[in-house]
Amino acid sequence: MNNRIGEHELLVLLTGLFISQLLIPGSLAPVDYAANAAWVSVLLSMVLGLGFALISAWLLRGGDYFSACDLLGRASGLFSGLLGLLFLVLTAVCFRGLLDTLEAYILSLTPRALLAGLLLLCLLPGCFFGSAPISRMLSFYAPFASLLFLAVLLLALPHNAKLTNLFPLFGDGARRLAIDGSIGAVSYLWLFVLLIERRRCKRPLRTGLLSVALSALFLFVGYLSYSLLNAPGSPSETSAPLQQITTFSGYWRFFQRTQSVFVFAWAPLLLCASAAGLCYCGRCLGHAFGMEDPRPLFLPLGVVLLCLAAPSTERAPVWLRFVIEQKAWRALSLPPLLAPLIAWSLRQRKARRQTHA
Amino acid sequence: MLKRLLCFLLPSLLALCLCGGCQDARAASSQILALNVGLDVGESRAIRLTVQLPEVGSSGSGGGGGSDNPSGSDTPSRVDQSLVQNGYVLTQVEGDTVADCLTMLTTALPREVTFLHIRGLYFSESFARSGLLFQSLTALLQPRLTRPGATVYLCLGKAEDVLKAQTPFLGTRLSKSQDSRQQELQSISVVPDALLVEVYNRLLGQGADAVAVLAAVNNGNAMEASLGGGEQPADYLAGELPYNSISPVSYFGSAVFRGAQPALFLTGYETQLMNLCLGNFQQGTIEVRDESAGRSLSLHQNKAPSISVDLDGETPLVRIRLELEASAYVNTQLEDPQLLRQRAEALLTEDLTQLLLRLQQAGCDPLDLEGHARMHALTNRQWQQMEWDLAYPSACFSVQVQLTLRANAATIP
Repeated sequence: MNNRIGEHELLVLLTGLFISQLLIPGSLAPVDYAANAAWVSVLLSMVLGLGFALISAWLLRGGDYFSACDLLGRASGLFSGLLGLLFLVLTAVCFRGLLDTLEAYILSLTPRALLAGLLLLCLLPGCFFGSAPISRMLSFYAPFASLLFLAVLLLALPHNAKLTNLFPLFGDGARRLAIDGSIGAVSYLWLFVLLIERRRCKRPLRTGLLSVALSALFLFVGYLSYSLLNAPGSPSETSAPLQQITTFSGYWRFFQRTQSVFVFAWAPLLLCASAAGLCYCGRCLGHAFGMEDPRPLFLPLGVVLLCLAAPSTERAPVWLRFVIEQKAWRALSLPPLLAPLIAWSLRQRKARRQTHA
Repeated sequence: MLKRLLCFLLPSLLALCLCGGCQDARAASSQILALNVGLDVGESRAIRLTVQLPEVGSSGSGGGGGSDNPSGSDTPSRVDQSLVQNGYVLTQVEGDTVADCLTMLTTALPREVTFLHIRGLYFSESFARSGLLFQSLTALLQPRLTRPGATVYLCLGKAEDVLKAQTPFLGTRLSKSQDSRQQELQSISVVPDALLVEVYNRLLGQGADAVAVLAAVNNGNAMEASLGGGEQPADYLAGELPYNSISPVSYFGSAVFRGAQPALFLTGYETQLMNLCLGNFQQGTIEVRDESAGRSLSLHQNKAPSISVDLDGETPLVRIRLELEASAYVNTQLEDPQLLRQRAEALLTEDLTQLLLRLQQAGCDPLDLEGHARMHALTNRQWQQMEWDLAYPSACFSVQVQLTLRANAATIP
């Protein structure tokens, strides 16, 4: 098995992870409440995010996430373990999104648990082989999904977009949007976590920065189109505009039931993102437990994922609803994002001491 | 070997997941496609749901319920004959909610009814005023239940009467007949664009007020007694048109809602004017009268209208500017084209202002003037402080129509 990842494959994988909502719930979530003004926040987060991505690229020069964690000594395992847990929850949320989408548009009568089990059987071999085959699979789907997205925009926007839908331009206030945008920009700090792959790619930092720009552009176009197509006060959620605009924009005058077709491009993206998320989860937990080969972990992790994803929101136990709806687990994202920064400051301190000595 | 096996199994399992096997398969012969749905106030319950279905022959297992091909005459003789018309049957159920009606429908019919291909959703004025419209549309618009692109009709009279009077026209099927009729009416702009999901969203309070197509049974009474009609060729409401035809249902004009209640009925001509302001006007004919005779002008709208709301003064000022093209045969020796153009501009300006004032008095805003006023606010708080709901009733209107007359293939500036 060729474990090397080509530049364009890494670009597609990282962009897919950014736009598939795997990472967004952790950081861009406040945008949910900004509704039609969300595109302003996204625009701001795009500009700031590129700055954050440059910082993370600079922090990671000459190493990867695990090597940065190793500088933390005994706490290294704790940081890797927390990141692993976070990836598990994020993957569960992403996987639930995939199941919800399939349930709503294509397989409404198929039992959810059966669907989750079958999809998990597809997902586990992907994790078992590592992120390289997943990125290859995703690079196969990416052009198709992008073209379909473009087609939907071209069909929906010219006849349905209304400039008046963008107003009031700053929604609940410019200050609130600035805070939302700054929080959203933090999502691009994930770049240094996602570049776990850097040793298997030729120019990982350049590719990573390109993926940040590309995903920011996708998100911006998605949110702006959503705002242009939906009047303020729209009850539909804005958390996944790429998918939502295909459902609510009224383009079906030209192209009936495109949402069902779009799901066939959107679902593989979510499936690949879930597989990559579970793969990273296994690798982080493997690093925490000092395991060189994390593969034995994937089966129990798959079972946990099934337990987290299979119950529908209505039938989910209270603790699971807390995880899904309250999103309190967002706090988990702080330590892993701070780890390279702490490691960098330790390294600087150590260097200064050596200089003094 | 193991890797090859897994590579084979992976796509197979993925395909298995997306196909879903026969888990949710439905044989075509076990389904029937509803053509139209009607909502009326019930006699014993709150809602009477009328579903129009193609009549399927008893031996029609092969034909399935897929098409609305009118077939055989094997209807039992004891059924209410008013429910069987021209190869289509009506089934009526009553319930307190739409969900009750749908459950009742399942027991009343031997096949599963699918609403995913309905052409129209009809409801009576009394049903719309009963306050049940919004919750009924909410129930019908569940995912995969009803076609969101169906057209919404408000019926003058009962919706079931309109459905009973529906007749396939000139040898086509009813579905095709309805589609082509709607297309023809939209090409002369006498009906609004009233798609189910858009009407629902507007009833929900998003954007402009909702508008539905006006429908009524046109029994040809207007041929005998003059029922309506104004100075313009399209100045009629549905049901008042002076024609007699084997297809007695007329679709003409529009019903404008205020919130979830119908507030105003517009004639075909007023609907044309409304479409002009919305930029949905395709073409239409107006009659410009002078002291001696009337002249017909064919109007076209090639440029989107310009609407702005000025909030600087004491009362809001709504400015509407329209650039239109008109074509007519003009004998320059007998009449002055400039004068004709000026008369047409004055007529349209006056009629548009009258329409805007009527809408204002009824408290309706189908043109989304609120959206244009909102462009002055940067934040939601600023928008709330503007109190548009209080300001709109006192707004003034400034309409400017610029007509380019194309007469005898020459453009008159």
